[in-house]
Amino acid sequence: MSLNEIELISRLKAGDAIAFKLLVETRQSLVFNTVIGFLQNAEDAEDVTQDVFVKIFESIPQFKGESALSTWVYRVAVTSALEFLRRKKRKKRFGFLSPILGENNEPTLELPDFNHPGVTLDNREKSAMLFKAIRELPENQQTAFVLNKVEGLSYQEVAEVMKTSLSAVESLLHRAKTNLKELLKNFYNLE
Amino acid sequence: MKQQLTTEDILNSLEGIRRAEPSPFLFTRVQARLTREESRPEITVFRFVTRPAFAISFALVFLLINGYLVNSKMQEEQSMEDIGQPIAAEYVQHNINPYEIIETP
Repeated sequence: MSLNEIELISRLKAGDAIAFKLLVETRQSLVFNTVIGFLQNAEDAEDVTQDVFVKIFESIPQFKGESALSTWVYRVAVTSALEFLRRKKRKKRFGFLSPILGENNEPTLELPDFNHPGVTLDNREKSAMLFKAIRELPENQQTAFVLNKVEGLSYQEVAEVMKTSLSAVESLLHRAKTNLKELLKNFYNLE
Repeated sequence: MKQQLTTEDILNSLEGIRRAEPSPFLFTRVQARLTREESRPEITVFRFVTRPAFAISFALVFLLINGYLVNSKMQEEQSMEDIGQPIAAEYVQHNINPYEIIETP
């Protein structure tokens, strides 16, 4: 952990507004890019990114410094994104109850194809197919894949964020790729 | 085009991906959200109520009250039995039939 980071953490714990602004400005793309990898929707990702920083602001006093600040920020981002997806799935599953319960009748349509803004133009179509398949992966495989392939973290960094071993990450990514190949074959009749 | 594609091509489509950037007003929005939450006391109450320490303490108090009520109920029943038993024993001892009709001469 660098000295600057230690200083930043202590200033954040003291409720320093400038330190918090610095944290948001230096980590916003990290959080947004991770979250959008899971949610595949820019508006939802923007909302969840705001949530992540609110949570960080509120829970920074409990941060013990056992991991790097960025690792902790990644964890909050991943947890928040997965919580959002679970909530969305629950809403969809019990959607038939909403007219009875009088809840907001939000449309629960299938997500349209997602074009990640950072993907090169010639890969747009292919990556949209890949993102559709990523949605179907189990949570831990999805997390490992998004952190490694979308956010570009090394296996070691993914292991730290997921609080697991390097070999577990390797295994998760191997299974994720196998599952993705199967899903793509089924979706698009590919070889 | 899709016929020439392989799953490998698709899996490799994220190579060279760049980070997606949020809107430039993110910090202002986070600040506004924090201010909004601070001005809503019910959120603070909700946050306090959902703390594990609060939930565990609440459960313990609930169990203690339950234990106390069950115990006092059992004691009450026991004392009722204690009052009733000597009277019953007396009835048995003197062979008294409370439903017997005693004819007066």
